[in-house]
Amino acid sequence: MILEVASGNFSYRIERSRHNDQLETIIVLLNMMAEEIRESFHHFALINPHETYKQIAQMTFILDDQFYVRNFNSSAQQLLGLPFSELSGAPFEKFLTIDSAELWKKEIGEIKKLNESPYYQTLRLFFASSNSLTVPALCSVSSLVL
Amino acid sequence: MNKSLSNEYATFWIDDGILHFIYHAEVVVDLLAAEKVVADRLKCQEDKYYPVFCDTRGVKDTDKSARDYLAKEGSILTSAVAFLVNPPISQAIIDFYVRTSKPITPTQIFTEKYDALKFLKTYR
Repeated sequence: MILEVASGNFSYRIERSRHNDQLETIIVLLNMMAEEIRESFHHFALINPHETYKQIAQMTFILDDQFYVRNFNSSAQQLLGLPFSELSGAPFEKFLTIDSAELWKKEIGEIKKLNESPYYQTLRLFFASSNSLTVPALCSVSSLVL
Repeated sequence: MNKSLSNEYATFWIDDGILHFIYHAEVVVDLLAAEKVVADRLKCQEDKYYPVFCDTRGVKDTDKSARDYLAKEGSILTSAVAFLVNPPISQAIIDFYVRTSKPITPTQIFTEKYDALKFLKTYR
């Protein structure tokens, strides 16, 4: 995590546990610090936004009707640190943390209730990358027409 | 004591001129949670200013959008805020929040409820 931040990558977070000790405190502070540093690089002029900046469209996944990965962009592969063979054809929840996988399963339930009706939702999900760090992302999930 | 109000993140009530709210255990305060907590706090206060006692010992984590929101909109109708924390994690989170988000209302952090309420009583 520290190496990622030092090399200019503020996207990663360390996954939290249920421990309540000094190490967990350092993890909390590192994660919050990375958020603040990422935010501070957005201000190239005097800007007073109404809310926090949000990054969009870093990772794109196309899923089939069983919610398995059919396609993805290079940012997805890069951020998750996984080879093509592990991404392609895998269930989407495989790339999420435990809590986010539960949230994703609930959303699948909601999507299935709609049958063929169009679906659009915004979800905050945490992806688990291969270097044991998590990537928080505000995800836009929508059904495709074709 | 007025009737209490509760949502999935916290429970609120007013007692002795102070708005009390306690975050439930293992709560992650993201923007959605922050908006819900502020909305219910304001509903409880019924357009009146109150000093606010906030028990954050149950907070597991926060994100930046929530912290920024709470520092601005979360200070509406508050004359002062006292956070009750538990070392090490909730204390670290609230310390970080106060230092970086710079809430506009007089804010202090306590590890003892008695001291927190004593601070707030001067703002009733």
